[in-house]
Amino acid sequence: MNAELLNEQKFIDQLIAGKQPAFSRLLDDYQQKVFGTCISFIPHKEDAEDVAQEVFLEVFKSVSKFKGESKLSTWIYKITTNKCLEFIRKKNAKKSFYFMQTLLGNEISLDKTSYFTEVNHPGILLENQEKSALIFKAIDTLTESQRIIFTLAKIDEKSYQEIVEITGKSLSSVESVMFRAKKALQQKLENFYKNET
Amino acid sequence: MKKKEYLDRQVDTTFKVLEAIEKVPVNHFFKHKVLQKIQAEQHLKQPIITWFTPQFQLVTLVVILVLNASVIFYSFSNVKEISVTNIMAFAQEYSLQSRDSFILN
Repeated sequence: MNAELLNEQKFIDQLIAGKQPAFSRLLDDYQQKVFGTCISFIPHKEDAEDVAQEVFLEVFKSVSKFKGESKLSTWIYKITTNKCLEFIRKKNAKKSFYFMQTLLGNEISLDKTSYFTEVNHPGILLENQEKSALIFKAIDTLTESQRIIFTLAKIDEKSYQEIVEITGKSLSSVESVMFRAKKALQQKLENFYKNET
Repeated sequence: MKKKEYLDRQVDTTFKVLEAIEKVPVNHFFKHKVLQKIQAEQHLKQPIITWFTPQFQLVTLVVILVLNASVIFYSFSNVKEISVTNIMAFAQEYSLQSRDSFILN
């Protein structure tokens, strides 16, 4: 076991013991990274921050179950990805519910837009707002695995190796899903611009 | 042909928007908020009786069950004797004791 791994194990033991300084260090090391991943999936600053908070609480609650089969960072990113997907699923389910209610004739004030057309991402330039909303909405139509891999690679700028570790897929599988995701997005965007002209 | 070029250009610029997304710094109070929540969770997590571990709870449950079973067994085994002595006393009291020879025998 090398020194780095040994240090990580010591750090994990401190986290399991519930030591406050260990959590403080964990937050120093990961708050920006976790928030960065969250805002890549969820283009709303406040929502991304709430999900990032949930991630750290989940880490706190389940660190004792961490078996050390992967790096701590990989485990944290897995939790982050799952929490983001959970949040998006809930948002989309809410939209579907409202849609069904209107179909059934119930009077509910309906926001017909997708969650991803209400982009509130401080990192997106004003002139790119419209196009960003469009691509985030297109990403929302991808399959879950395509969404994860595309978002991690293209928005969160993770390397393929990191994505392999986070998703547990092989490199060739990641590359193939990425290819299909790009193709699907291209198709959707082309259709949109075709209809626009 | 021109339309195809236009579409490709639009799609390309839309993809490029993702590359232009700037890094968003996390809120200054993020760490403080999370640590506060973790502290609150820690208070909730602290069990009231720490020594009463699940193993100990199981042993206690088994002891209680055995005690209950033995009390029930003991009380039912006594009921027979008690009822027999009660019947004898009752028969004596009202001279209902059976005789050695029955009149019709």
